[in-house]
Amino acid sequence: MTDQLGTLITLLLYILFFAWIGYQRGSKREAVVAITAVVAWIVLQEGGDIFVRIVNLGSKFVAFVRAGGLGANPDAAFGALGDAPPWVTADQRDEFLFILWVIVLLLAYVVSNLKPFAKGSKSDGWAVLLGIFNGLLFAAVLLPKLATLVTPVVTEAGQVEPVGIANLFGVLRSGFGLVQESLGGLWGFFEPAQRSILLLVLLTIFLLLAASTLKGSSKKPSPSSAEKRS
Amino acid sequence: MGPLEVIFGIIVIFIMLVALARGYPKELGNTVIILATIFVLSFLEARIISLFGRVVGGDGQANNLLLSTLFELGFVSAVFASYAGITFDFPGRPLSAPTGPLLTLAIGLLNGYLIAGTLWYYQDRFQYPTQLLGLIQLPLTVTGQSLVAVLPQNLFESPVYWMIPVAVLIILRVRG
Repeated sequence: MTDQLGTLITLLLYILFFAWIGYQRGSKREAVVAITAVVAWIVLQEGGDIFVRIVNLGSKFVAFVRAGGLGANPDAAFGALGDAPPWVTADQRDEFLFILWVIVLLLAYVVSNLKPFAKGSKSDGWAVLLGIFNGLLFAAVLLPKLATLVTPVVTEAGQVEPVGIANLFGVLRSGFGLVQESLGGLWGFFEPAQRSILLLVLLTIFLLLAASTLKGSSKKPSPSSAEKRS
Repeated sequence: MGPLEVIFGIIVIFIMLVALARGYPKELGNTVIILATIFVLSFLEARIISLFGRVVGGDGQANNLLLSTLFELGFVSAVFASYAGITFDFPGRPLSAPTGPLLTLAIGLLNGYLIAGTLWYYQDRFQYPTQLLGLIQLPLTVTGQSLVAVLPQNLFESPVYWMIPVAVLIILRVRG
């Protein structure tokens, strides 16, 4: 009974949290996210193979260009087309489609924050309901993935111990481990020469973004910009 | 004296604290100067060593000590000049907390890595000559050995790479 009550309170808190987010963002913006999430999910489940094929065409295109393309000897390039390994294999299909769905969802959040959607997005009951709907949708899709971060502790008697606050560190450790492993895998995907280019691009983008956040930089430089210190 | 990476780690932390006090508009200016200095010194490295060999002659730890001191003094002078006197900073108001201070810390970390990493590089390049003075204990730890591979001068095939972010930042600074 106590366990059930705890689960109920957790569920209520979760629903309240998304209801509050929905109320803050307004009905129009929440509707954009909800519709995009549902439509994208259905499209990716039903026609996911099309997207996998499109991405794998990219691998063939790269192999074709690397082999010389439509140059003096296009036969070698056409031969390379058949040997090109797919970027997304059959085993990776579901993971790829899930990542694609998350990207679409993130874009939906970004786009729904733009002026046309933000204007007239009322904080009413519909916003609360749509917020709750989005929360439940995310729970259904994301929780099974996140559950892998929580390693259940089973006692000698075969009972699963209740998850306490101490498990927060376990989740954090698993999360960091997962991020480290994934980044390591991604890093290994690049050849050494490409890694330095990637680092350079990331460094340049970071510095560019940092410099572009300076507000009022179009104004005449203030005397402090050429300040002389003793 | 602890492992070498601890000493350079402390330098990085100090530079991050200095950055926190100054703010990222000023630290970005330092980044430009530091990157440009790394490029110039890397570009001239082989020439300076060759010239030094012809002028001074001989070979050995004493020469290595002189060369590493020469490069490190040159680098430290440029870094000092970027922090003191008329500074090359970016105009404009920085972002408010928490984004602004976090950006400052990130750029401070980058500057710290570039400064401490360059000083370490010149020690590594000349077989750690300061061990003659008892300032460094060798051999390096496993962590130290792995860090040597990612020192600023070992990161890219050519020093010209460092000029790409410098050029982008200067364009942004001139454009205003």
